[in-house]
Amino acid sequence: MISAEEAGDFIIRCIRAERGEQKDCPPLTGQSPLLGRDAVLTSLELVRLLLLLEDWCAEKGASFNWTSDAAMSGNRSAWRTVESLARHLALAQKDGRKDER
Amino acid sequence: MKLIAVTGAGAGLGRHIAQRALEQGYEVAGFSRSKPGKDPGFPLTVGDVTDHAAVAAFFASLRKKGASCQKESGKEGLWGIVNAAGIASMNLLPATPPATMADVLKVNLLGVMHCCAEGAKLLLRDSGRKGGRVVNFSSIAAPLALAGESVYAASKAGVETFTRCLARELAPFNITANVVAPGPIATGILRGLSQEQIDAVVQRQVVRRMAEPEDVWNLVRFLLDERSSMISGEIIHLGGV
Repeated sequence: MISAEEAGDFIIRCIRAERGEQKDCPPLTGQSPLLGRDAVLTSLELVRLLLLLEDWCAEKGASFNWTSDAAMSGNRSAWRTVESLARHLALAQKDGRKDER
Repeated sequence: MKLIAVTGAGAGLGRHIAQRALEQGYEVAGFSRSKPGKDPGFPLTVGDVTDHAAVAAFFASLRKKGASCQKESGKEGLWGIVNAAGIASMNLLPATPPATMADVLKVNLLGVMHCCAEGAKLLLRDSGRKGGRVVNFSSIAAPLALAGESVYAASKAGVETFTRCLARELAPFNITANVVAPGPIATGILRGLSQEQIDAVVQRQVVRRMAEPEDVWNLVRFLLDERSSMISGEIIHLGGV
């Protein structure tokens, strides 16, 4: 099962790879925003990140469904920050396992 | 070799487009509600565009296939989606059964949404850096607001606005999305219309002749071409309105 910490590390690695070394960027943390004016990724880069996450989950035998009515909500979206996305991912795996039982 | 996914590829316009694309050197993957009697000459998956799981499985199979053959054969993965699946209902609104209204909206609009959503994910993976193409279908029934075609025309108007929004979402990835909106074409979709009814519509076009499937292919071929990269979010009325 994927943990939130593991997912968070992967997300940060992906963002670093996407952005490259940029001196004037604030350091990446769990609170780094993925949506909105201060987002660390463009919308294009965010989509690429979600595709990478989908692939990563599949490699681990898990699934990642990124359809959500709240996806673009500044308040409720699971994609708000690195941490919220990582937690969403871990929770989805847990719920999926529950459904399997 | 670029891969094109064509829905409605089992018959009519979709089949013509799939076969012509194949002849022009594209790799073609068809999706259709039913398997045609004769071998269409390209792989065809039987499924319903209104069934999201079936559409997702179709594109997942294209992804698997692409991943396994790209290295050795120089195949380029998914380049384009042509959503030609559609149904029509020519009827006065009060006489249209509610189930028919739902079917027309589901196949013509929801089906396009399913295919674009699942297909776009694959386009983003396969062509994210190079681009891609989405071609959807409307009809001149939408701008002409034809009596007796309210449900059909509404479903096509939905496709037009949907595609214009989608074009903006996909533009950062160099993927274009356009709509081909032909007048009447001699395919099964016109079954049930008299020649007088068809002629009356054709007379309202700028070019007053019935389009041939080949006229549609000529436009689709251009929209699939790399040289059409500056054209996106457009509704192109074949025959003119």
